[in-house]
Amino acid sequence: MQTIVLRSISKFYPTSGVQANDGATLCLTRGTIHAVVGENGAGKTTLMRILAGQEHPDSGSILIDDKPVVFKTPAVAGQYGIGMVHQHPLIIPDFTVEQNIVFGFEPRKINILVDEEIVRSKVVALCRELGFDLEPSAPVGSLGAGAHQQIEILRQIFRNREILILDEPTSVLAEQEIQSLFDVLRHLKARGFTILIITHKPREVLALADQITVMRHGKTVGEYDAGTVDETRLARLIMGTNLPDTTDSIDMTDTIGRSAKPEELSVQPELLNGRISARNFYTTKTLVTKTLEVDRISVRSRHSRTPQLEDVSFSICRGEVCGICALSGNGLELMEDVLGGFERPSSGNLRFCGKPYPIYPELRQPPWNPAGIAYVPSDRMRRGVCDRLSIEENFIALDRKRFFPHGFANRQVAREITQSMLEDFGVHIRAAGPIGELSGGTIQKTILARELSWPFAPLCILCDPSAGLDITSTDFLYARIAKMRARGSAIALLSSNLDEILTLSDRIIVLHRGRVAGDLQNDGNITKEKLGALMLGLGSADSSVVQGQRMSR
Amino acid sequence: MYRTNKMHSAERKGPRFIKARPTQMTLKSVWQRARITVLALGASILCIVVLLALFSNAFVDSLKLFFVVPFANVYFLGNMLSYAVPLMVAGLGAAFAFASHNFNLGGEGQVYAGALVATVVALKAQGQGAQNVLIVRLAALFVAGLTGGLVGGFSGMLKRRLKVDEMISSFLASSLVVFVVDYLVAGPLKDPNSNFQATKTLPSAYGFAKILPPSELSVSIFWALLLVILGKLVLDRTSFGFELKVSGANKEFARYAGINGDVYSVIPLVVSGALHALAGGVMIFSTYLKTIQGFSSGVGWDAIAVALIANNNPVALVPSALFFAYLDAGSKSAMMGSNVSTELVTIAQALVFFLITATTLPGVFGVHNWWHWGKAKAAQGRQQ
Repeated sequence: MQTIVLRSISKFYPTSGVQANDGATLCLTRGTIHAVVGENGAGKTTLMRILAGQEHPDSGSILIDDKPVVFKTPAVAGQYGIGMVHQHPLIIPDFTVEQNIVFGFEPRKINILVDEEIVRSKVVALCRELGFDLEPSAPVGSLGAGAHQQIEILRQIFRNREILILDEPTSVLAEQEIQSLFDVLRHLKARGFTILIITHKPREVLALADQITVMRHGKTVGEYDAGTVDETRLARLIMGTNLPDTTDSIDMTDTIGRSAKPEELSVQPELLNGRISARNFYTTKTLVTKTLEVDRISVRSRHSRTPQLEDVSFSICRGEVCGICALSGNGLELMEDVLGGFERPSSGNLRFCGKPYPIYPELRQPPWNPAGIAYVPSDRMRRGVCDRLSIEENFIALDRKRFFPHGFANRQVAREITQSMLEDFGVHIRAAGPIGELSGGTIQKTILARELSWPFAPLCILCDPSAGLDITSTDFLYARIAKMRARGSAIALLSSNLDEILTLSDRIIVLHRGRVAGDLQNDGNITKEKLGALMLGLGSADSSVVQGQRMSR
Repeated sequence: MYRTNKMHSAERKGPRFIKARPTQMTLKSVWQRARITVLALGASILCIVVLLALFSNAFVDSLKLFFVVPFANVYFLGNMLSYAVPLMVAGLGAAFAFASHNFNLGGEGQVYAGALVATVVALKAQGQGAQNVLIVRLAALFVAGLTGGLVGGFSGMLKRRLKVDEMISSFLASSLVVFVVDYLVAGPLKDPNSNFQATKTLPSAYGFAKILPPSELSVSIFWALLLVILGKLVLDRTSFGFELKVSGANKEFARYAGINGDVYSVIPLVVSGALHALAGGVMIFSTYLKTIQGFSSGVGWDAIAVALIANNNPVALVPSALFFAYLDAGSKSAMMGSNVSTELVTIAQALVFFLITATTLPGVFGVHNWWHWGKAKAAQGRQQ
C-alpha cells in the first residue's frame, strides 16, 4: 500500500525553548482519513508543518512510498501533492473567491494574462464536483469562516494536491459548518484524496477518521484504527497520566449543559459551591454591587439605517457570570466591541463600578490592577496578540506604567512576572520567545494567562475563551472562571458555544437582532433548544424572561 | 466562532491588512534578513558592474573610478563619509516614522526647509554680532528641527483629524515646501553678490570643525552617531519607543492594550520631520555654509531607502547610510572621470532598493512606487 511515513522527527525551537517534536512518527496510508490528536502543545501542528515543508526537522526523515524525500520549501512538498489548509485561513479579503482559489497558479493566456474564462469555468467545475456552494465572483471578505476554509481546500485541490492537511479545521467553525465540512472530507476521501486532520476533540475523530495517531509531549503515543478505540479510551490516550477523572472529563465536550446538571461536570465542586452562593445572593437581593451596568445602549452605524444594537440593558454583579449569546450577525460582535472599549455606543451609558466605562481612547487598566478589566477577545490573532512581538512584550504592552518605570524598560521584572503568570496558568514556554510561532491553542492559553492570572480583575470580558483549547485546558479554564467568580469578579461570557454558556453562567442574556431577546436565570431548567429558539427570535412566553429583565434593572 | 462574519464588515473597520508573511517566518528573521541583505547588496553591485560594462567606453577605468576611487585618498573618503552624515540623521527620521507604520514621504521638503531655516537663523545671529558659535549653531539647528517637526506634524494632524493619508499629505506638503524654499533662495534671501541661486555664505567659523582636511568631513559625524545610538535607545528601551512600535505593528492590539494610537500617528511624524530638518541643518554647518537652490535634492528619498534597508533599526542605519554614500561617491567619481552619466547611479540605487525591499518588505509597495518617482524627480532637479 502506498504510504507517507514520517520517521522519528525531532524539532526544537531555540527561541522559545520548546521541544515541539521529540522523535515523533506518523504513518499515513493514501486514500484514508487520518487524524492526529493530542493536547495543545503536543506537537501536532509542528509535525504537520514539517510534512508540509514549512519547517525543517532537526532530525528524522520523511519517506514517500519508501523513498526518502527532503522538503525544503512548501512548494517541494506541493510537488509531492501535499498541501496544508491552515487553521487561520490565508485569504486575501479584497479578492474574489475565484481569485483566491487560483492565486499563484493562475491559468494564463500566452503566459502573461490571467485567463479569466478558464479560471471561472475551472472554479465552477470544482465547486460543482465537490458540492461547494460558493459564488466565484463574490468578494471573499464578505464570507464567513466556513467559506474561507472551503476556499483554502479548493485552492489546494486546484493545485493538484492529493494529500490535504487540515490544522484544527473545526475550531473556527459553527456546528452546522462542522457537519458540512465532514461531509466534504468524506466525499474527498471517496474520490481518492488523503486527509490528515489535526484535532483535539475525540468525538470528531471517531466520527470521521479511519486511523488515529495520538501525540503527547512531542512524541507519538500510538496509532490506532478507528474501530478499536472508543471515546473514553481516546481521551485517556490524549491526556496521558494526568487525567483527573476520566469519564467525566470526556463527557465535558459532549454533554456539557445538555444534561444541564452541573453535578455531572468535572469542575463540579467549585462550580457548584459558587453557584449556590450566587443564587442565594441573587434571590435575596442583598448586597447588590453592580460591577458593570449597561444602561439602554444603542449602536447605530453610519452605513445602515437599522441599529446594530438597540436599547440593551443589563448589569453584572460581583461574583456573577453572565453569559451572552446570539447567532452571528445579531449584535454579539458589537457587544464585544462595546464591552472591550472599542466601540462607543451612540446612546446609553456604560458604568464600571459606578464610574464611566473606559472606552477607547480612555485607557483600559491592565487586568492585574485593582480597577482593571480582563478582556479575552474572540479575534485572538489580530486583537489578542501582536504576533511580531515576543510573548513577554505581549504581556508588558498592557501595563507600560509598571514595566517601564520612569519611562525605561525593566526587562528583568517583565520577564519574571510574565514567566510566573504563564506558569500560573500552566503554560510552560519561555517568555522571551516570539508569540507568532506558537500554535493557536497555546496562543489562546497565553492570552488567558495574561488576562486571568492572579490577582483577578473585578470585571472580565471573556469572548469564546475556550476556542482552540483541549480538554485539560478547558477544564482548567472553567475551574479558573469559577474561582474568579468566587473571588468576586463580575464575568461577562460572550460565546457562540452554548454548552459553555450553560455550564458557566448564572444568568444568560440572549441577543436577537441587536435587542435583548431573553434574560434568563440559569436555574438548570434552560435547555439548548430554549436558547436556540430565543436566538432565532421565536420569542418566549416564558415569564422568567420578563422577570429576569426586571431584576437586572 | 462568532466573530468571523464581523471581521469582514469592511465598512466599519477600514482597510484590512493581510498578514504579509506566515507567522513562522519570525523565527529565522534576523539571520535570514542579514543573509538576504548581503545577497541583495552583492547582486546590486553586480548589476552596477554590468551597467558600467554596457555604458562605459573604458570599462576597467570606470570600474576603478566607481569602486576604488572613493577610498583612494583622504579627500574622497572624507567626502563620502560626510555625505553619510545627513543620510544617517534623515534615515533615523524615516525609521521613526516607519517603525510606527507612518510613511513620511516629505523628507525632501523637510531637509531643504531645515537647511534654509538653519542658514537664516545663523545669518541673523551673525548680523546681530553673535560671538558664541556653539550657541548659534545649536539655536539654528533647534529652530530648523522645530520647523521640520511642524511640517511633519501637519501631516500627522491631518491624519488624526481628517483621516488624510499621511503618505499623500506629507509628500504634497513637501513639494509645496520645496517650491517655497526655491523661491526664497532665488528671491528675497538671495545673496546679491553671488551668481548662484543661493543665500549669503556663513563665516567658516560657524561650521563644524573639520576632522579630515582637505575633505569636508566634520565632527558632525560623531553627533550623528550619537543621535543614532540615542534613537536606538529610545526605540528599544523606552515606553515611548515600545508604544510606537506596537502601534506600528498592530493597531488593533495597540488599542486593546490601551495605547493611545492617535498620539502615535502624530508624534512619530513630528520626530521624523524634525530629524529630517536637522539633517538639512547639519549639511549647512558641515559642508555648504549657505543654502543653494536644490542642493539637498534626493537626500529625503535616499533617507527612505537607507531606513528601509536598515529595517528601521537605528544601528543598522550606519552601514546602510555608508553604503548609500559609497554608491553616491562612486557614481560621482565615475561621472567625472569617464563618460558614465549620473543616471547610472540612480539606477544602481534603485536596484539596491528594489532587491532589498522586494525580498523582505512586501508591505511597502506604495513606498516603492513613490520612491522611484521621487528619485526621478530629484535627478531632474539636479540637472537643472
